[in-house]
Amino acid sequence: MEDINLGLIAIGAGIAIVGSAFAAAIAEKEIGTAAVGAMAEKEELFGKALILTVIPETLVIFGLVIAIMILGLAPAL
Amino acid sequence: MIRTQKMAKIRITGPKQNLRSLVSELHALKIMHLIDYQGEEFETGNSFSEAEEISEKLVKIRAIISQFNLKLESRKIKDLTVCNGKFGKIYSEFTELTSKISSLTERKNSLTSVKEIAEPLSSLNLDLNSFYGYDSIAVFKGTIKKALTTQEIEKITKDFELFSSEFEGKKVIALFVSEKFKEQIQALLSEKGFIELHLEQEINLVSVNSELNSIEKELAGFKTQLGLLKETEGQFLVDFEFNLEKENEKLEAPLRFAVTENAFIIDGWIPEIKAKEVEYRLRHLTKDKIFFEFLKDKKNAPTSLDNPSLVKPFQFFMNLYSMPKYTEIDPTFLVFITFPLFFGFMLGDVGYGLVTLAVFLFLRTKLKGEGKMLINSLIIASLATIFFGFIFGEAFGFEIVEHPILFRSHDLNLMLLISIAVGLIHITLGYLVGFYNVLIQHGLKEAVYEKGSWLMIEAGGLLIISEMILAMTSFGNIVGAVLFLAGVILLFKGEGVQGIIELPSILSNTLSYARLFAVGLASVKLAVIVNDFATAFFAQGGLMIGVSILILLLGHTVNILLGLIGPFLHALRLHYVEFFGKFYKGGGRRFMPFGAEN
Repeated sequence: MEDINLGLIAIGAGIAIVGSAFAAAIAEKEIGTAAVGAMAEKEELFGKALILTVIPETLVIFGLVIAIMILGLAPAL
Repeated sequence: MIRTQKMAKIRITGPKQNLRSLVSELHALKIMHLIDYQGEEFETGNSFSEAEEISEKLVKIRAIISQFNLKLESRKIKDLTVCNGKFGKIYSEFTELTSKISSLTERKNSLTSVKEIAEPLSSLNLDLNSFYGYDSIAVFKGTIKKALTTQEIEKITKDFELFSSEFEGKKVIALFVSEKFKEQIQALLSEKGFIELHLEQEINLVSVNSELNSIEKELAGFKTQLGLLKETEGQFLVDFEFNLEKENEKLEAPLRFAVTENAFIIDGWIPEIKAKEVEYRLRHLTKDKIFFEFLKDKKNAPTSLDNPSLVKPFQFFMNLYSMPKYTEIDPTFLVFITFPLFFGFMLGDVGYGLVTLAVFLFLRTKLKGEGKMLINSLIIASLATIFFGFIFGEAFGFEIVEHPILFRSHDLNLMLLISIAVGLIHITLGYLVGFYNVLIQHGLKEAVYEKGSWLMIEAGGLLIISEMILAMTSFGNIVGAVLFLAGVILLFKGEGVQGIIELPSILSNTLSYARLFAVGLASVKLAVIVNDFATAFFAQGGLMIGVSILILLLGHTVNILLGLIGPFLHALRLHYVEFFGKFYKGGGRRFMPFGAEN
């Protein structure tokens, strides 16, 4: 039985990463499009555009932290 | 270093006779950021007498440059006096050529339009002079879309003559009828899509064609001459424009000053350490005829970042973001310390560090300006990468030390803890800088409300969490809760509901530093995968050894590229979002001394 538990834990950790990575990707897509549009008008905005674009990246980090915490549940790992 | 360069606000007052020499001196010194006079009490001055001549010349020169579509880099010219004569020659040659070209083009266009009428008509094999000059006969000549049969005309009159032919796929007709039926025929023809070709004068098609030919030849000749002019004098024109522009800036400077009938007033900013020296020079120049005054009001002072040469490259990141205000702390030095550390902590590999260091040292010799600043800052980041590579005991993904100080691909929890601890320190530093900024700008009370409150919330939260985990004392919880609550109340007083809404950000910002180890982990795993692949191929021997070397080269090149982009962006982001968010306002005006380039 323990093998199944281990697998479930691994899948759980995977879902944490996948879900948050998708969320970040969607958010960054939207922001990135707008940012490039703004930069076409005014090139000096690069710094600010970059910041706005990378803000959602934190979502993946949260996913990773959760994944590591889930992996911590596995005794054998 | 931590503060922007101290500025002195200067007012120079003097008699108008000295204005010209003073402006020349200031322009040459490149030290004073002028303030345009915008008050009502005085008038602004007039530009010096040659300004008009020079701006006229500039208009001419720019017309040529835009016509030639010149995109060259401008250089400095030492002696402008020779240039004027040279430019005069170029300009007269240019205008002569262009006016010849335009008159020839005009003639060519009118001939072409004549030709376009005469050619279809000549396909009818009639004398071109027989189409006009009748009293009782109406002539319809032109192209027609639908077929026109004689029967249709006979319905109107039997008295007509119709000629038709084809020219370049179009039907051409000439219809001669009695003047009486003109209107009826016109109605019929317009139904058929008739377009009249107007020809009311004598035309000799042969001579038209020969003239067109000779015009083409002449045009081509003039255009080559113009091209030659562009080739030989393009660089000179660009240089001359640049230098005239500088000269013009000097001559038009009085437009920015306040003047009375006999005196002028110049306001501006000079770096404080240079102010005395400038005062001495100007006084000496004008034989003490000017009044040099230090003003107390320091509002809207321009920002000039002042850092030692090692730190200077990191000003690139400030230029990319936004200039600090004069009253703000210049965070360049703080970025200089933490950026390479973050970058190195993420990439952390002796091999990658050495490779990138070599690449950057090479690129450094190729680049100028901003690009060079970026590379210089990355060189320092590469050194940090090598340093952390030794701590993690890694080179190209291989573990080179048996028991490294930190085993980052195995001690995940420890790495996470370190990352978050670094985050807490960094954020606290941000709040402290913010506290100082508000303190010098608005006073202690505001500083405590706006930034002190956050520090209390942070400390309170930390105390509660550590008490929950370690359970050291019995009262830690209570102290923590009191600190936290007091912080929240102060924050509410300082920033209102907005502050309360932002409360969770302190948690998300801290967790965001988990990327410090996450990005590095991804990079290590990729390197390990590349190495495992290569080892597997290598073990098979023979040709596979070559394949394994190829895999190593390609895999590590890709990983180094990813390893540069990832840590660079993430380190930058931690500074821009998490760190600067705590204190940085930006939006300062750049110090642009009169006479300096850009």
